[in-house]
Amino acid sequence: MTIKEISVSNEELRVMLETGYILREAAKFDESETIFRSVMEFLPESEIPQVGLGTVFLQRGDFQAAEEICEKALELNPSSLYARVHYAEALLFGRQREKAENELREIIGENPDSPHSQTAQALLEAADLIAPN
Amino acid sequence: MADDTMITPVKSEPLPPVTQNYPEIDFQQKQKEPNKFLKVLGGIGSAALNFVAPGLGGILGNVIGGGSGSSFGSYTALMEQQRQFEEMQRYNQISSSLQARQQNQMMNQQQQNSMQLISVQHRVGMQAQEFTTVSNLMKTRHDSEMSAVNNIKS
Repeated sequence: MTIKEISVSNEELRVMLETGYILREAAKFDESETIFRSVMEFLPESEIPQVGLGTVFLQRGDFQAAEEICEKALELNPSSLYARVHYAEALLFGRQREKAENELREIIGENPDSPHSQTAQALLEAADLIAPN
Repeated sequence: MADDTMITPVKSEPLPPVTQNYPEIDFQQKQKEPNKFLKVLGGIGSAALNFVAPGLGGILGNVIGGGSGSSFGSYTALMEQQRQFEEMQRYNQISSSLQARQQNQMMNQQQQNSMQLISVQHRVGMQAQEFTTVSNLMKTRHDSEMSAVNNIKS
């Protein structure tokens, strides 16, 4: 039996993703990584589980890996604001502040009302704490 | 009724001399009398000076001898008073300088305490601001993730 043969509903996938986020916030990074990788198997075309995986690496402190994973997610869906914000976040934590800030400002400028833009704004406000000059 | 003190005046008896009850007063008065040596020295000085300046010798002799109307006793008292006054002044000066020093120390302490308080207030303010920033970031990130999750389609 292959993964493709398993039938999973959208609701179940949402629950799996939320579980991944909860495990990540509980600092259970290995379990969270397993969940996101599993969802990636079910949604190979979606950037969302991949970005989720990127944030796990971000919270582990592996900023280089986080940046690479988010970059791959962006390749899947270059217009994804979710992927762009977290790519910029990985840049910010990786001490590429100028590049990150430019990306975040661009996101806010393009979609000021999006929830991702609010995250971008919050990241800009926290830039001094995350990557002080 | 004849013994009533309100009607019959009380026979007043003369009071005993003060020195009987307080002999130290008499002793102090006796102490002020000039001694014999100074009397003799005053006489000799008076005679000698009368040759040089008639009249002045007598006055000086009285001063040294401490005779009646002599100013020597009062001069000594004056000197003593002056000495006491100077001593008081010295005490006052020392007390003032001590007070000033204590005041300075207190001021310095207060200044240090104020600076520490300002520093603590500043740190608390900074921490509160950092907390607000991080809290806001976590909230917006959660909203962003939930928005992404709600849009998935298999």
